[in-house]
Amino acid sequence: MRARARDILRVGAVCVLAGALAGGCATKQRTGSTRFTVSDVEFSAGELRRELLAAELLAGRSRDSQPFVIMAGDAVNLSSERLPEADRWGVVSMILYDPEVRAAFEATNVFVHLTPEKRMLFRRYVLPGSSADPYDLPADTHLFNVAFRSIQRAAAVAGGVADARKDVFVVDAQITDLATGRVVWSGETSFARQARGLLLD
Amino acid sequence: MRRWVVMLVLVGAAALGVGCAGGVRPSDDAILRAMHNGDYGVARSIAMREKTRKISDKRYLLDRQLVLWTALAEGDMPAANGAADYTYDQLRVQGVNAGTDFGRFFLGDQAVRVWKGEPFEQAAAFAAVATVDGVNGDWGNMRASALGATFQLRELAEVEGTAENEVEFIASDFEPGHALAALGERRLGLRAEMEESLRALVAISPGLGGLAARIRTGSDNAAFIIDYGLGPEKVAAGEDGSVAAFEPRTPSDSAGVVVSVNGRTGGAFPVLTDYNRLASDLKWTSLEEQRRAKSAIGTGLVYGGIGVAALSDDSGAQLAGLGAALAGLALKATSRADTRQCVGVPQRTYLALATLPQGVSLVSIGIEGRPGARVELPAIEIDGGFRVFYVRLPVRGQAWGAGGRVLYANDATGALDRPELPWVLGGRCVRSPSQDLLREYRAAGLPEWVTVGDLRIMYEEEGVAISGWSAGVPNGVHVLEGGDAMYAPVPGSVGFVRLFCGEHPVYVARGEMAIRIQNDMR
Repeated sequence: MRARARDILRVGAVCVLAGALAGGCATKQRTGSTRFTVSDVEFSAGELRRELLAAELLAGRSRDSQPFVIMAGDAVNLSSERLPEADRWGVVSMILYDPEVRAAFEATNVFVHLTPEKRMLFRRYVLPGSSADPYDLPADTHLFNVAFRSIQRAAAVAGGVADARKDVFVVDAQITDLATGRVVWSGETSFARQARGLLLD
Repeated sequence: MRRWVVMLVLVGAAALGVGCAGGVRPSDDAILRAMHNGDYGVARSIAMREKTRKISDKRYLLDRQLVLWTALAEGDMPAANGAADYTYDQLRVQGVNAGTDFGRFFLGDQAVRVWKGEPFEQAAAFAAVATVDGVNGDWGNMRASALGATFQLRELAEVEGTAENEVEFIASDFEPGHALAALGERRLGLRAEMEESLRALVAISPGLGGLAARIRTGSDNAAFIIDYGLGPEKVAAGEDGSVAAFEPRTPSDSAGVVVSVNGRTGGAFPVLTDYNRLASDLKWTSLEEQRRAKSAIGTGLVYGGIGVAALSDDSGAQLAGLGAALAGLALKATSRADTRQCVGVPQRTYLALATLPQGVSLVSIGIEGRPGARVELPAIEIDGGFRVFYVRLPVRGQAWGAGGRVLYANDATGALDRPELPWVLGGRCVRSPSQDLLREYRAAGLPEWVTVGDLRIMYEEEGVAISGWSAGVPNGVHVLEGGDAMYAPVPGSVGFVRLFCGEHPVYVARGEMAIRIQNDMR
């Protein structure tokens, strides 16, 4: 009788253990996110930087050329992904303040300014070569803009459940001549991120 | 005799088995009371203080959502921004709980990896993040967060020709997601995308056609996202409490919201969404079918097991029956719905648009037929662009809501029309000390020898944490309300009105520096 009871208890214990284990491993966890990451910021900035350094805009210029004063303008998010301001401005600053780009700008008589709003933010710090008055600067001649766009795709996998998501991000930058309104340089880079799993889960 | 022992064991196990799921905490009750009265500073302070630090705690994300709701209601944007970033990042991770269905069947909601909240709570949190972005004037992020709120939903659908159900994935009918996305798209000049969002909005709720038309024309320069009431209470109902039911805390109705600008009353805007409705819609909640199935199987096992154990004379069969009954009890016990919820979700949301004159305006916002749900918002400033304001109307009317005048100099709107001393020294200024401010204080009678450093010592001695001075965001109640924090809610928020448009008792200084300055001024 005792042996039988032990058998029943053993079977019960095995069932409980199997149930608990099955909860953790019955289905492979499918998790992820198509969120824009720091490496995406670095990748986008790197690609756009290369395009800018190779641009005709700089090729025909020298230290004696008419100065270009580029204002770092908007970094606008037109994508379906929430992008922190730090990431958006990260792309702008990693292009315009990159040492290689700075050297190329210096050699071609190109200057970079922040927007008046950003200058106001830093007004308490008199940056080297700048004035204490955030507005006491040469007039801007060009505007540098960056825009982030995305195309979102949901995909159905076996079973018909739309649980795969792919976001193609396009980051484009352009420099506009403020006097003529003409775009004098533009660059574009894109990359895709994909993840499985339902947002709901 | 043995049968009676078996029965007693079963009854004892049943008594132990029920009542295991977490519910509303005492701190949640305190937050609900504060939210009801418009004391959002208190609610935010409790939410920040009581939030769990254990990342494995299933309340972890819900607690951050609660900080988001309460900080947003208070107009404390630094706190709201941090909570919005975290909430969005976590909600945007897909499939966090994929593959836990089997575990959840046996172990209940404890088996989920991250409890994001019911689907409607998740959508509401995305909308709160979009609101934060809107108040910050970040149209791209506002649109993106709002689009996040329109995720696909699961719904049980009848399989044609059979009585069976299957899970179907359907488009969201969450109105704020589409409306806020359209608003952002209008600001960004994304016309085609805006038309798509507005079509979805009007298809869900034809009564919102007027609002859609105003968003489309884009002639307004201000949007007011207005929340009202307390979201529904999550309770365990049905057999074994296996059904998560939502009971209204604030009743639903169709009363519109009216916005008046400088005394001129505009038209009423309809309810954009009603969270009582969403919470009663099965596609906006989860797990009910699973819990009901567990409860039914558990009941069968218990009755079957008891029957075998009580009626059989064979000791082996009795033990098997006992085992089955205990397994049934375990299933029934874990089928109890988990009543954890985010108590910051409102009962309803409105979106109102207005054309304000350039400069500073007085805006009144009230719900039709509810005299208590009204607030006067001074210092609503338009400076050429488009602005979004968030207003969480209190359920219970408060005297400060009708003040309509800024009575305390603060960091959000600056000086009053005359120089003022710091409030802790008997004046009406609650701004962060600075060199510029020192000149104003001296004009108001502050002794010449007092420096910014002295003022800093004074606040430290009084135990007051100043936003922007101390590390992190002060999480206390404002010093004007007897707390230990000094911060400035954003103009247009109810927190701004409550703090700076109502009278507060005179402060009695305790610290050595404050008393020394006061003695010198006598």
